[in-house]
Amino acid sequence: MPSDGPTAGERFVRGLIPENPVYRQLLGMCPTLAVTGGMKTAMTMAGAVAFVLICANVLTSLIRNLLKPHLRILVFTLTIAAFVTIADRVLAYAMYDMSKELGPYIPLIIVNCVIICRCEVCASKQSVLVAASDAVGQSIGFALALASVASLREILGAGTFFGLQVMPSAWPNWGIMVMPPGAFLTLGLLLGLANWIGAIREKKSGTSA
Amino acid sequence: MSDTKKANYLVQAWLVLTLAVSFGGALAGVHLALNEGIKRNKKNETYSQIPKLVPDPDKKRLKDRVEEVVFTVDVGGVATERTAYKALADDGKAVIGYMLRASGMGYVDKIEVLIGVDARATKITGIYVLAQIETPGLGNKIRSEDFEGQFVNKLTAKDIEVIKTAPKSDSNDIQAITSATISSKAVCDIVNNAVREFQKYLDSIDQNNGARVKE
Repeated sequence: MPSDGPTAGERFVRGLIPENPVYRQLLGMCPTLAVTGGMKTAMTMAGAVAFVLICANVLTSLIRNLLKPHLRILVFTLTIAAFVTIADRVLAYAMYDMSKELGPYIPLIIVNCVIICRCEVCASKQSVLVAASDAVGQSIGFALALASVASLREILGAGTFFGLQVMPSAWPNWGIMVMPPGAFLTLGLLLGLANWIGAIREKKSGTSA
Repeated sequence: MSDTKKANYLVQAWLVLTLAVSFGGALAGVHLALNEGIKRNKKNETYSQIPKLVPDPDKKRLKDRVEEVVFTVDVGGVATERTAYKALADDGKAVIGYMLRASGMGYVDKIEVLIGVDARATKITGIYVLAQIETPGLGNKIRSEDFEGQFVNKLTAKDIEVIKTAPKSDSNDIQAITSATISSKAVCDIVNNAVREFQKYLDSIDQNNGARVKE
């Protein structure tokens, strides 16, 4: 069926950078600001979101023919909430310290717009394979976005990367980077950079066409 | 007409209801499988606080000399169980101090606090906020050395009070976190209540023993 939408491969690649959930779709910015003080918390969040996104997309795709239009958001939210609860319990079991550090932000994955957006745009309309590869692509894109903000904030703000000292001890840690204002500044500047690079590439492909 | 409409809605919602039941079952299964492990993690975290909260010259082996003490208190007419951890000296008999576990309502939700007291609960040796989901950046500062450290060496003869300015050096006051007075007061109330309850318990075992309890 030619008009089925993008293929699995296309969905995967789009999720990485062209349709990056944070830099292009501007979704899921709450965890991008909140848990990117360090790489460890950021990557744990990325892992949790990946688990929920993949499971929710696969399940939604499996039941896509049973969805009623006026109840579909309810079904999405129900599915996402169930998987987030599972992720939260598993995290409390296997990585207790990390689960305490992330605190309320793991349950808040339920309202992360990236996941419900992928359910609505892709999983409820396309096959399981496409939905799964869309989820994987978007998850990696989200992880890349978190990593970009977290590495800047941790290296400049604490001199460490994944907890290991990388800056010389003479480096005065920019305290503001590990606090909320630093998150907004970093994300804002990186977004501007991403838009600028996008504009340059458009100009290049425009003139070479 | 409205009856068939009602039936229609239920029929349309069959997927939602089925999913709700299935997810409920799945979550119950996850809970059964993981709950013991999570409780163990919490217990380890509690025990790891004991050397910090109950001052002891030999911190390394303190974990082996801890006894769990379960006692009942009267909360509004209902007998409720409380847990405390008794830290014993090297001889296994003299009591160095206790660590109390207490909880209460904060600004957002329940706050759990560990409280270290000396052997007669006359002085607080430290507190640790074990669990809280107060407002990030404001109330959640109760889980910080700055705030928790204020409780060290506070005497328990009188209730600890929360004030908004810097407290005088030997007063029984602590300073509230700026813009987080409710969270600060909540922790203070939890500490005061827990110490009162524990003092009542200590008095009751004094009466039962008849003799004076060794320090």
